[in-house]
Amino acid sequence: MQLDGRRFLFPRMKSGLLHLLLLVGGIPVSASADGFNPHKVVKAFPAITDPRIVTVGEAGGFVEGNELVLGVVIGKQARAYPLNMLTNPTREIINDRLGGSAIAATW
Amino acid sequence: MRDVETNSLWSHLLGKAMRGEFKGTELKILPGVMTTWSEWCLRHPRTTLLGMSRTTRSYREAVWKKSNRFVYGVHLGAGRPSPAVSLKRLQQEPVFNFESAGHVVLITAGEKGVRARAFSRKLKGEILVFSASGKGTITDDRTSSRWDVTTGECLGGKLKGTVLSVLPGTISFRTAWEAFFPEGRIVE
Repeated sequence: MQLDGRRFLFPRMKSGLLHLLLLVGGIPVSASADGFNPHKVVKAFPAITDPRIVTVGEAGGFVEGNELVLGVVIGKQARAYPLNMLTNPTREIINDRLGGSAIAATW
Repeated sequence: MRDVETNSLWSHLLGKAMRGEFKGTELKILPGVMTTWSEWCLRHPRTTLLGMSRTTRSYREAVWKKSNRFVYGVHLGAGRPSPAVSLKRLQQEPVFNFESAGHVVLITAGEKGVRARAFSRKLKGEILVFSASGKGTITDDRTSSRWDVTTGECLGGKLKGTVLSVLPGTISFRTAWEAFFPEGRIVE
């Protein structure tokens, strides 16, 4: 993916656009000179760039009906990210591809 | 979050690089929707899904029980006043018309405030006001056309075939929204 003529970023993807999907929750912040002073809560961990994606049939009832998911549609393709898979400090950002776009689902 | 290539630091709620080589750069925020798995499957029977292991089993609709702690925010971009509505208010008024900082916004929500979506109420230069008209549908005040609460598509009436613009929005902890959007207004 390109941004200002340079290869980008969170995912190791080679072409397409980068989109940020959606965010919930947040990191507590406190004031600093540039107004951005995040608390470091975990060490840097490897980016998740090739997540396992399955069909409804393959999921086979593993996800229960009342679980919350983050859903997105690009073109004619729909994808759901169960919140119970996005959480945990070593997840939280899933670099993915959908409908020809490079996206990141974040929590 | 950080990017691997330059180690710039990004705010995920703003979608903007705050420090490092990409400072000031904004990502496009897609209009995602938070809903239950069963509701998502009804709408999108051919959906695919993330198939990683669960790290918790906590996130079900009951997570919004303390609705005062959450808001549904409409994301108009970093540095722009972004309006938000308390989840409690949305539970009371699941079809919510309002105006903030020059934007005319419609938020539709399920009974627990989940499944919220945000739309622009401006259509071809006219501003519409919506009210609930049945399960999953709303009606506008000018033409009494019927619209789908989830997709913003006009299902019947004079405006049939037109679609409201979806605005990116998210459920957020109130404290997080206030910290990232200090200029934004929260409708209680």
